[in-house]
Amino acid sequence: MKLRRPSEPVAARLMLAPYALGLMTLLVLPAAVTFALALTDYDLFSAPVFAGLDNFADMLDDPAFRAALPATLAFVALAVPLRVAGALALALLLHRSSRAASVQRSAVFLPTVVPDIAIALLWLFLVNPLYGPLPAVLGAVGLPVPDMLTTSAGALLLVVAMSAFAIGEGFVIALAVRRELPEELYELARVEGATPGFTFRRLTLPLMAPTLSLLAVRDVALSLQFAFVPALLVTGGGPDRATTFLPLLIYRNAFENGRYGYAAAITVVTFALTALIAATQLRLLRRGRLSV
Amino acid sequence: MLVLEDVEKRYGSLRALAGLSLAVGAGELLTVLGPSGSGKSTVLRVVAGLEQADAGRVLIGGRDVTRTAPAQRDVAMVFQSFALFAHLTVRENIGFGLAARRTPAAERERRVREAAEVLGLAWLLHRRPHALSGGERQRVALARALAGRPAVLLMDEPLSNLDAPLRERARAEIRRLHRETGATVVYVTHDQAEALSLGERVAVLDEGILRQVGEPDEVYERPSDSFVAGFVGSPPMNLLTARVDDGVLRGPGPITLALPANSGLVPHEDVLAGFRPEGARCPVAVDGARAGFSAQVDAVERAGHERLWYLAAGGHRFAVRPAPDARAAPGDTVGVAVDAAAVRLFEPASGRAR
Repeated sequence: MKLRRPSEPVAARLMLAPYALGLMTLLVLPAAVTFALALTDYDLFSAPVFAGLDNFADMLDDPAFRAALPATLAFVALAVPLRVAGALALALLLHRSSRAASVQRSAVFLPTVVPDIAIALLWLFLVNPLYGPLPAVLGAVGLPVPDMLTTSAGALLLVVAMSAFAIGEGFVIALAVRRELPEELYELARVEGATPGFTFRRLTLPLMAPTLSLLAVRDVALSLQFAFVPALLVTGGGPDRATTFLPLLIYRNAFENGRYGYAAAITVVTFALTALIAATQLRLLRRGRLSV
Repeated sequence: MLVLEDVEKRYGSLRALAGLSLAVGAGELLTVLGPSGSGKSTVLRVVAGLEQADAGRVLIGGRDVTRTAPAQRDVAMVFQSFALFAHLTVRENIGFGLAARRTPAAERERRVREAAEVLGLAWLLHRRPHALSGGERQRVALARALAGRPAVLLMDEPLSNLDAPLRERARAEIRRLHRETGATVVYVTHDQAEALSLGERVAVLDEGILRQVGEPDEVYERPSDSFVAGFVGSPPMNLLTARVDDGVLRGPGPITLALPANSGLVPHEDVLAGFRPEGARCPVAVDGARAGFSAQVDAVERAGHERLWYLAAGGHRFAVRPAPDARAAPGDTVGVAVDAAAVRLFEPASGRAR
C-alpha cells in the first residue's frame, strides 16, 4: 500500500500545530486574559467586577506606581547600554581561539545559566555591610564603602551591576557576529596602518551595529525580566521604593495585595512602555543608518 | 627592492617555507606560481608582516623589516576576496589607509581621485561596494592599494574571484597599471597561464621550496626540474622514463625520442625524458624514421583553433598538438616524432634538469 503524502500546506500546518498550540495557551491567551482583567476588579475570591478604566486612573494617584515608573526607566537607561557594551567588549576580548579564551568564554556565560535565586543570594552575601567580602576588601584598601543596600542610588546601581553580569546570551550573539567578520578586513587594516582604535571605530563597530541595535532593543524587556529577582530578594524593592520596578510592583499587587485587576492594568502599561521604547530605538536606528 | 633571505616559516610541524631566497627588482612584476599548499600565499604574508618569519630576513628597499609591524613596511595588499568594506563608499574604501595614517583631508581627496582616475572609478566614488560589479570591486581594491603609494604591492590571487572574460581584461589592466605606475609588484597565483602572461619573471614554488625563478619563456622552455615541467603549461610537459639505446631514447613500448646531442648520457642509462605537446610532430610517416613511433589516438580535444590529441602507446598516455590541417578520430593510429631540440632530460631520482 502506498502512503499518501499530505499536501505541503497541510503538512506545514500539522508540523506547526504543536508550536501554535503552545503559543496560544501560554502566551496569547494569558495576554488576552490580562487585557480583559485590566478592566476589572478581581481578588481571586469573588468573580471579577467590570471597572472600566478605573485601574488606570488609580495608577496616577498611586505613590508606588509613581515611584516605580521613573525607577524602571532609570534602570533600563543604565542597564541596557551597560549590558550591550559589556557583551560587545567581552566578545571582542575573547573571540580568538585559545585555551585560555575558551575557559574565559565559559566564565562569561556561567552567570546566565546559574539560577537567579542563587545569584541573588550570592550578591546579598557579597555586599552585606557587616560580613560581606566586597565592603571588607574595599575598606581594607582604604576605598570608601558604598551603601549599596541603604541608599536609593546605591540599591539601583547594585541591581544594575548585578544585571551586567547576566549577559551570556548577548555575549554569545556578539561573539558569533564578530567571528563572522572576515579576517582579511582586519589584515588589510593592519597593513594599511590602522590603529586598534581606528579599526574599532571604522570597522568593527559599523559592521556589528545592526546586531548591537537588535540586542539593545531586545534587552529592554530582557533586563527588566532579570531585575525582578534581585529587586525582590536583594533590595526588597527599596530603599524607599528605589528598586520597585514595574514587574515587582505587578507581583506585589497581584500576589501580596490580591489586586489582580490592578496588577493586570500595570502589566498592560509595562507592555506598552516596553513596546514604546523599542519602537523609539528602532526609529532612531533607522534614521542613524542613513547618515552613517 | 624586495629581498628574502633564507626565509623559514613553520605552522606546527608543517614547513610552509623552507629557506626561501628571492630578490625582486624595483619596478619589477614578479609572479609567484605554485599549487595550493605550496607556500605561495605565505610568501606574501611574511613580506606583509601578517606572519613572522621563523628564520631568515626580509628586506624592503634595503631596510630589514623582518620584525617590523605590517604598517611600517610600506607595502599594500590586494586580497583574493578584495576585502572591501561594505559599509563604506568607494571613496572611503580607497582612502581607508590614508585616513588610518591621518593624511590631511585635502591630500587624501587628491590621492583618492588620482587612484580612482587611473582605474576609471572616478564616477563611482559615492557608491557602496554592493552596487558595483565584480570587476569594479576588484579595481577598487587595486585603487586602495595604489593610493598609499607603497614600495611593494602584494597581490594574492586578485583575479580568481572574477569570471573568465573579466579576468582577461583585469589582467591587461594590471599590466597597464604596472607599466604606468612603475610599482614593484609581487603577484601570487595558482594559474600558470596567468603567471606566464603577466610576470616579467616567474617564481615557481612547491612545498615551500623555490623550484625555479626566471623569465616566463625560460620557465616554460627550460624547466629546472620535473615538478616545474609537470606544473607549467596546459597541458603540462609529457614526462616518461626512457633508456638510452642505440643513439635514441626508448620509452615504454614503441615510444622512441631523439637523443639530444651532448646529453652526457651513456648507453643503457635511465633518464626522465619530457617534451611539450607542441614539441612533437604529428602525424608523420614513421617508416624507417629512427626516432618515430606509432601511437593510438585516445581522445581529441578542440577549443576553437586549438586542437589537442591525447595519444596512447606502450601503456603511456601523452598529449600532442597536431599539424593544423590534420584530422583523426579516437582509435586511429598515427605516427609521432619528437626531435632532439624538443626533448628535455631530468634526473630520474631527483627530477633535476640535466
